[in-house]
Amino acid sequence: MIADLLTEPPASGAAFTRGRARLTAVMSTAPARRRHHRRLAAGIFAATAVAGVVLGVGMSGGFSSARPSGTSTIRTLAFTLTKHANGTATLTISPRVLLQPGTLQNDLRQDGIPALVTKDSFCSSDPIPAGFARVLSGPAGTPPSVTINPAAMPAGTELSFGIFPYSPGSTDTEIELIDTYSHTCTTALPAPPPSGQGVIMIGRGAGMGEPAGS
Amino acid sequence: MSAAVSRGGRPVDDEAGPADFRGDPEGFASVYDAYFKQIHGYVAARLGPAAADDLAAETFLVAFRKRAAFDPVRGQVGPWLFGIATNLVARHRRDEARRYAALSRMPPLSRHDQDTGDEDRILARVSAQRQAGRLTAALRGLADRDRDVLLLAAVAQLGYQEIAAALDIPAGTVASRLSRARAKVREALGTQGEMEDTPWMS
Repeated sequence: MIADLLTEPPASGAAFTRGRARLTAVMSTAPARRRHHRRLAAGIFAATAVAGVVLGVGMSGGFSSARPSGTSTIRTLAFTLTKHANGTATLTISPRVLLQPGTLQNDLRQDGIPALVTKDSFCSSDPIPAGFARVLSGPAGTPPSVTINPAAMPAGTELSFGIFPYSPGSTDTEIELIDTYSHTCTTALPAPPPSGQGVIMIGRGAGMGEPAGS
Repeated sequence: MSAAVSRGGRPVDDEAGPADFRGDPEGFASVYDAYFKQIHGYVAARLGPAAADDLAAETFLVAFRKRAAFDPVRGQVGPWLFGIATNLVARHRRDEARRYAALSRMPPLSRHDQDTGDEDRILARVSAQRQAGRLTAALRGLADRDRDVLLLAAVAQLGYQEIAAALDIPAGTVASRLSRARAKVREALGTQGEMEDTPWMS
């Protein structure tokens, strides 16, 4: 009787496929964690688009995500994620190394930051959930950093990171707050939104240098 | 890892499987393929289908991260996954309560229903609505740990030992929690009739 009342239609094929893709992305990082590959390539490009951040990083490599005991920092070749005592976290994208989606997503989640990290695609919600400015700030510095406040994330939201190699040796990353249960993903990097629309971008376009305003 | 499908449609662990996926990360994909549907169904029953899409996937991400800690001596893969899913559901207690509240508010009879004049059908539906309302109210009123045990039995169709493995509690505790949950649900429904036909309530 309880089962009859609560039973829902079976999982859709799309749900199965999305979940499988997320798992595959995470599994793909596991061998790299053991082998500690290191491959470096070209530089970092960063600039602030109107309301957001695209993190510009270089060509790819394998990664080792490791948080030394007694510290609150995860360092990989591609990024550094530092969790602060006040609950916020600072994410710094290192130059010349392509971000591994599964590694970043895992490490963010382990730090209590719900995240969906995708490569060659970007997921967004319409409307964009409110509160982005309280959740994410930056970018600042070189290489560019953003500060994330997971406590300010509304329930049922997560941060979407879309990673797009846009030229040989460099990559854009776009960050946006999305509704966990209502979002769509596209293979095209969205155009920078108007100011105040809740998206951060670093590294868009050629010839970019320091993040504007940093 | 491979998993055969039997026993009421649920995958049954291949005895050689767990060690395989612990040593071979790529082998974990077969665990996902074998169990996603069951885990999704369990989470959907508790939180609704939209949340289940994400939390079912998250269950396997957590399991993959913790695969080295999986101990085949203490239980099979299925209960282990249901235990992880239950822990994830526990982070969404308010959403679960809202779902039960929504289920208790089934749509009222339409004008068409009332105009057809089929009194037996109308009475049956009204009765079903009342029962559903009482049942969801009873579920909301259960202690979280009792509800976990009850729904692992009723929805996931796990046995006592499997629930014990899933929640990492003694089988005796499973029995006492299930007994307490049954009693409260029976009390809320005010009858034992239909429920006695259900294995988990007998």
